[in-house]
Amino acid sequence: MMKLTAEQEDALIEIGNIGMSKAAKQLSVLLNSPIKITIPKISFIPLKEIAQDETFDLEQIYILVSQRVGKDLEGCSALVFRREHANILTLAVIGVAPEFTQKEARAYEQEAMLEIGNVIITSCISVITKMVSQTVELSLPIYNEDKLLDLLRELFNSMNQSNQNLLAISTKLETQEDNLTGHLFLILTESSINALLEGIRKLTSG
Amino acid sequence: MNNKILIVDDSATARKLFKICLAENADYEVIEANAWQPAIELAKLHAPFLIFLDYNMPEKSGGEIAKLMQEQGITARFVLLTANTQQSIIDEVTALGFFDVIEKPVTVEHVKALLDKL
Amino acid sequence: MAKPYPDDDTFYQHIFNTIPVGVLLIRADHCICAWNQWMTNNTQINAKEALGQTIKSLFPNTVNLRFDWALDMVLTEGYPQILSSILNKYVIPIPLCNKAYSDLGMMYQNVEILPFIHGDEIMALIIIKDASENTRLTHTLISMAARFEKSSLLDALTGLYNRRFLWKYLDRELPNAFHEHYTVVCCMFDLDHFKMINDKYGHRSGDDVLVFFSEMAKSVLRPHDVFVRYGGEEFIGIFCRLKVEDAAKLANRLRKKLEAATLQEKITIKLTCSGGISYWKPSDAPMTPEQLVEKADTQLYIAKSSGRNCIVMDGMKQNLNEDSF
Repeated sequence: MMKLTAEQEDALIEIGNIGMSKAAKQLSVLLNSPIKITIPKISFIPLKEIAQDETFDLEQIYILVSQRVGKDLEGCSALVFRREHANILTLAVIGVAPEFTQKEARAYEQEAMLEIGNVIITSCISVITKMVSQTVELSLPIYNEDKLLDLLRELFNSMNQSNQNLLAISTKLETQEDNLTGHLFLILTESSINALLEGIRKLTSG
Repeated sequence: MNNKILIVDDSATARKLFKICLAENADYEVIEANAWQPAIELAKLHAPFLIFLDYNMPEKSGGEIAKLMQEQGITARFVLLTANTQQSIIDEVTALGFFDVIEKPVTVEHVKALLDKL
Repeated sequence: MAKPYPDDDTFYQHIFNTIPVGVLLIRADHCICAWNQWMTNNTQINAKEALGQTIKSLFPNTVNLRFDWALDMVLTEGYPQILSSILNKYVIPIPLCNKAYSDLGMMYQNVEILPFIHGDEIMALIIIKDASENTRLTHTLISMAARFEKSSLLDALTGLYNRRFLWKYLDRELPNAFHEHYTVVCCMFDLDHFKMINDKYGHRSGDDVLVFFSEMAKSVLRPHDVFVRYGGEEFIGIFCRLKVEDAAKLANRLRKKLEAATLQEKITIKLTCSGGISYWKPSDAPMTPEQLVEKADTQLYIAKSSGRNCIVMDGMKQNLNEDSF
């Protein structure tokens, strides 16, 4: 099982925090409200251990926005929020209008989360790749909704790779009124993980 | 005015990256602190002329730490290090008398430009 | 028998100009290098006029930070971006003529910006879809428009940009002027005896005067000049890339036009305004937006103290013959 050393963890949290801060700045412009995003924890988790991790509720519906990553680092990046949290976030933006049907409300939420996910993923990947001196391509974001394990399994299946480890970056997003927790997952091939860690090593050794 | 610079950041990586940016400049001595209490003690002990503070720290923010330091009579120029350059934060630290705000990731050029400003 | 895959450009050109979405291509230097018929139909700007221009030069008074960042992400990193109609007002200001959407004013847009690699250049392919077509969204869009009012950069009465816009604009323009070495002139106008007009003729007439002055300013100033409603009866004009003396002439032209005008039979008081000018020249030390505006305010104070109905710059009344401008 892959495990991060203390230095690697510290480096990834710092890099991740920088990426999230830049995302927060863009989101505050987009959502017209001060936004703060912090990273309490980062770790490598094998897919099968997600079930044992109590931060995840396996019965709840989660929403997922993902973008494929290619070139120097290969895999996929996904932002995941519990549906009710995504609901809170988008409700704050879209507002409550009695004219909405359930279907309309869900459609707007989906559109809004797609853009929010796009901003967060783009910011983070941009900072990560710059700091570890790698170049990547990103695909357009895709939205999905399901139980967490099913969502993640589908991602792994679509990537068709043997490595079953995810880099889980837990994120805390604070708006003026609410506190929401989500996760940014980075699913990379084994060689990409090594390239990433090597890039970090080079960065911190001056 | 001495040549001591204090860097306060809970991330060891951030402190390391900061020192790397100053590495070419042998004129300065860099002192590190990873939390607000050791930061205040070290500031009192070494009286650095420049204090760099990370905004996002556990327990107290960079702004709050600077305020505490000022209340305890520490006279140094304060610079904020942050990746989050939202206007509310810039306004907050400008009101506290911060000399400058540097956006993370910090580069050699950023630090050089700042030192030239002094 | 027709060939299955036509190999002549005109065929694909035809498709490009027939598809019911806006398509434009932007180079690394932000210049437009492709513009399709949908864009022409909806903006009344044809391809010949658009090519070589930037979006900012075609639509000078739109400030869109989200779009700027998104375009930057595509051009410098090659990362695709989406801007939804739910979270964004619009990227290109397209007025809606259809009566069904008259409450909305501008077309709501779903925009995708894709990296487009041509040789070793990364360009940005912008695809604009009209989101206001869906009539089911009409109610939602109206309520969203109301919410955007809160964060609006426009003054509701006059339709001019407001104070918030001014600061955003100057935050960008002063550093730009510094890098590109051009002059920025700020003129603060203040309608004379406005309180008296409100007291004597009522606030509705006062409002009419403000709108009247705004319209007049639009007719006197150049297309790229920025004119905002700064306060109750205070307006600020920002003129760039011209000599300070010429800016003073421009300001004086507006003042004289107001002096010569009659609003309507009701208002018998002569309408006049005072103005104070400040400027930043490339030979000057860097200046903040606040400093620029404060300096203009000081000059305005001198104008008011010197009998009103005049423009003051550098402490002196500017009684220039503006015909030569």
